[in-house]
Amino acid sequence: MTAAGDPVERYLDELADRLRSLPGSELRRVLAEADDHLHSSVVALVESGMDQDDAAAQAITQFGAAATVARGVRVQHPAGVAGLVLDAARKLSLVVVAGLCTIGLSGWLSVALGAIFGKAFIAGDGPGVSYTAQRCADFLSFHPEAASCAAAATAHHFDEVVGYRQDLGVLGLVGAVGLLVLARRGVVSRWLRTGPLPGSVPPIVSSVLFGAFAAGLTGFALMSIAFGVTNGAGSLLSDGVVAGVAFALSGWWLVRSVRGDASAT
Amino acid sequence: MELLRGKLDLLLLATIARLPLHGYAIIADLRERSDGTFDLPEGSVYPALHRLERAGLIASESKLVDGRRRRTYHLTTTGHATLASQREEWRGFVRGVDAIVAGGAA
Repeated sequence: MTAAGDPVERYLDELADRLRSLPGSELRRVLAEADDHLHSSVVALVESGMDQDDAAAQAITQFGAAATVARGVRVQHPAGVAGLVLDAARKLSLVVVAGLCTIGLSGWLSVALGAIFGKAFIAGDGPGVSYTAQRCADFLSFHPEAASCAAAATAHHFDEVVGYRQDLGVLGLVGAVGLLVLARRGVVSRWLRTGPLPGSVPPIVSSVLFGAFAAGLTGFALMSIAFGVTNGAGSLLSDGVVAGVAFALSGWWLVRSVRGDASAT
Repeated sequence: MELLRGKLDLLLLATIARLPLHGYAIIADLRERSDGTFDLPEGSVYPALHRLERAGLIASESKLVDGRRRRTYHLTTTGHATLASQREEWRGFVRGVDAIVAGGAA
């Protein structure tokens, strides 16, 4: 049987993955003991009349799920501050990239809403705002096609509101491509499986953050519209709607993550 | 298994006290001598052994057996003293429980 096809070897690989935060000497010791134990167990089961494959499966079951065993070992070897910080940085990089992509999408939604309801809905000034002649000249120099100072100001604000979001979205896209490349090499799943923090941390953090943003921003936008203040409400609304979609996806990710942990226990 | 909670250390010390053993043999010995009562989740025993070793109650040495590294555990002097005191404590506990539980049968 090849190493790749040997269930005991696969089990030891998984255990090693889950214990990467351990100091090298401790990791080698745990793996050597697990290796010796599992092979002793297989030999005993085969001698009792079981065939090799069943004996390997039985030995692994008796030893315990890799996730459970790794948890028991890690409790004895708490990670240092540096290990915790590194693990948090790896896991939360997924949330940061998701956040940047979400901001970018909200920029594109703002463009769409602006095309339908006008730029003032996205970035128009509130009632009573006026500008000095100098500021008006600045706005009109950016948007000479505008019919008035207010229209030039709105167009200028719109460019800023949408432009910054789209720039951050491009940054998020670059990050997402980077993560995708790492995911194809199994690095991202290893980040989630290993380390002192549970793999459910990123979906929990993203669910809480996106949920709070979705509720707060959508609520504020709808309240503004209800009170007749539509100028600028569109940018809050697009942020809130996209955060709501991200919240739903995070919830789905969280459920999958919790189910995965439960089945591994 | 709930009854085992808190008594794993005593069981491990008492098992290793008889003769130096490696992890698999410790678990097999516990299972056999208890007629299957202590059929432990095997992977959970190693963290307990490592904890006892860090506490200085047991020590271990690793050697090659059939091409594999095998770590064998034995009791230290402190381990022997701790086992003697935990045994005494356990016997007192059993006598106390027995006096109440067995006495109530009448």
